[in-house]
This record gives sequence, structure tokens and C-alpha cells, in this order.
Amino acid sequence: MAEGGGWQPPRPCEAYRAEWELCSSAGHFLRHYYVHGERPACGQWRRDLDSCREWEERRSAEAQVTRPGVPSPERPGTSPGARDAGRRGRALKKGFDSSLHVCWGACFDLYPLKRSLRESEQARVRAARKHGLVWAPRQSPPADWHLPLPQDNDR
Amino acid sequence: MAGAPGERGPGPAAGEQLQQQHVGCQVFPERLAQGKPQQGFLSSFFTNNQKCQLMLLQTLETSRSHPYVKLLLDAMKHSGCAVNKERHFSCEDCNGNVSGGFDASVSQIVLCQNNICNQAHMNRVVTHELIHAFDHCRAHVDWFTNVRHLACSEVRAANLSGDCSLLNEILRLHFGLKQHHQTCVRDRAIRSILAVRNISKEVAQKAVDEVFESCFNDHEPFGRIPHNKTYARYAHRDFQNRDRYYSNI
Repeated sequence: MAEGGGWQPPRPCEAYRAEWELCSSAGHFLRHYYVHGERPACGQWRRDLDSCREWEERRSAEAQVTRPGVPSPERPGTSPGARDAGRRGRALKKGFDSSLHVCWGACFDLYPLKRSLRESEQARVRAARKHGLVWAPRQSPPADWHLPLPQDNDR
Repeated sequence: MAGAPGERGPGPAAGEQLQQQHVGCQVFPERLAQGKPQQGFLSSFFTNNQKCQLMLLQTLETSRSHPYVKLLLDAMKHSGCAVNKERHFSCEDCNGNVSGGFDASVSQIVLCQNNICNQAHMNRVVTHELIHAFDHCRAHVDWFTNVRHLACSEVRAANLSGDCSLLNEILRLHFGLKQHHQTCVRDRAIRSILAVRNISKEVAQKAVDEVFESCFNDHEPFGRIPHNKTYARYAHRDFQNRDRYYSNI
């Protein structure tokens, strides 16, 4: 089966496409050079877009072969005797089983796509946070933010 | 910005300088299209305060057309600082050539009704001051005794509000391309500091230099430098998507 836990790409694929197109535009080249004095690097957006699209296609294909109404056969490795195998148990039998119209585990191997997208976004977050802060963050907003102005209290 | 004596306490903590923008307002208006009849109408029949209030309402109410403000308002609400127009904005006459300021002593944005020339200018001033307000909301910023904190917020405001866009710099007759944005941010941050603090230019410049690398690269809440509305819209989209984003990385 595909990756469990309801994981999905951090951004919709449409967002990756939009970012890649914006990054690749002449206007962005000019603005990036104006700010940073060098050309922008857009390759990672393209790789992320490809990973996202492939993930969606594979998940869609998985949904096709495990459609409602088809009896769900017992997944290999998930019987009580193999409970400790966890998700790995589902990968023991690989490939498409035409007799059952089911694709097991690594047949749709989505993990590399998930790992690629997660690593890419984690790198972006690290890059954004690598510079230390000048000030200490607040745990709550300023006490007077919602209070009336001093002159309003005097009326 | 120097507040009118007796009307306001210690004065705004952070201000936006006008300088060449005032000249630009007279000679090269930010509104590139000529002859907007409603502007002339406003000038003829409304006081500066009324014009300021109307333009502010336009900025806040039609934030779909100004995604910078929309994102800042949403981010502040998310941080517990929902913005109320009557409480957190004030249109006033200002001394000198400043467009606005943020008064941290009462958590209020001051808009200089005698120096904000048109709607585009109002949009940019509101964006600039909301960045100061956002910093005040999310961090312990020592506005009055720590010039590095003030410098950091001014660097961020100049960087993220569109103050230093290529077009705005050209309109100011500041011509430069490679990394000129950073030169503009440094320069405008120093000017803004000098507008609200009685310190020497050297002290202001030293403070900006010390905090520049950290604060120039702090793009919250945008996550990027919003060069124009497209970038700001993408930033707002990412802000709205943040729960999905952080739960899946």
C-alpha cells in the first residue's frame, strides 16, 4: 500500500508550478539580481513539481486498483502473527497481483517522493531560519494592544 | 517623526521618512495615470484628515487589491493582535517630512495626513507601519532604548513594504541595479532612525550594519521579499496553507 498516515505534499502541486513559473520568469531574474546581485536558482522548484505530480499520479493509480467494492484481501504481514512488522509487512509481497487486482506496498513506492519533498522543504525552512534573531519572541501579545487609548480613558 | 507637543507622549517609536518621496509626490506622482478625477475632487472638498481617513479605509477594506496589507492583518490576528481601524490608526498633521510612524507607547500607527499624497502612497505607508506593529506584536522590541531593535524593524520595513522597489528608486532618481535594493534598504533605515531618534548618523549606521544580515533575511510574515502584488499573493497563499505545510514536512 502507499504511505500511511494521510501524508500529502506540503504544498498543492499547483503551488509548485506557480513558484517554478514565477522563478523562471524574466521579471524575477531582474528582481533577484536587483536584490542579491546574482541569478536565481529555480531547479529545485521544478524537481519538487515533478515529485508532487508523480506522487499524485501514483496515489490516483493506487486508488483505482483499491476501489470500493473490491474485497480487501488480507495484507501480507498484517495478521496477528506479524503485528510487529508494521508497515514493512505490507512490502513483503511486492508487485501487482492480477488475481486480486491489488498493488502491494513497494509497487507504488511513494516513499522516495515523500522524502524528496520533505527534504526540499526542510532545507527551505533551515535557510529561512539560519540567521539569529535580534530580539526575543513574545509568548503573548502586548498587554495594552486591545486596551483603550489613554485619552479615551480620561473622558 | 516629531509629534506635536502635548498631544502625544514620547513620540512614535518608528517612523517612515518622506525625503525624496515628497519631491516625487509633487513631480513624479506614484499614480502613473494622469488625471484621476476623484483625487482632484478630494482635494477640493475634503480636509486632509478626511482624505486620510478615506484613503485608509480604502487600503484596509479593499485588501484584496492590496495583498501586502491583507497578509499583515491576517498574521497579526493570528498572533493575537487583531487590528481595529479606530483604535490602531490615527491621521494627524506631522512636523517635518515624514509619512507616518508607529507609536509603541500606545500601540498605534500614526499617518501623516499632511504628507501622504495619494492612495498608492497610503498603501505603502500602511504596509510599512504594519510591519513595525507586527514586530511589536510578536517580539519584545525595545523601541526606545535599544537602537539595534529599532534598526532591525526599520530594515525589515524598508525591505518588505515595497519602499525600495526598482520602480520607486527610479522615481527617486536613484539609479542602480546589482544589489541596489540592499543599498536602498540600508539608506532608508538610517533615515527613518534619524527621524525619530536624536542620535548621530554614525551611530544609526553602525546599528544598521550590526543587524543587517539577520534582519534583512527575516521575511516574516511574508516568507519572501514581496516585490509586487503577485509575490504578496503567493505569500498570503502560503500563510493560509501553513498548517498543511508544517504538518507534512
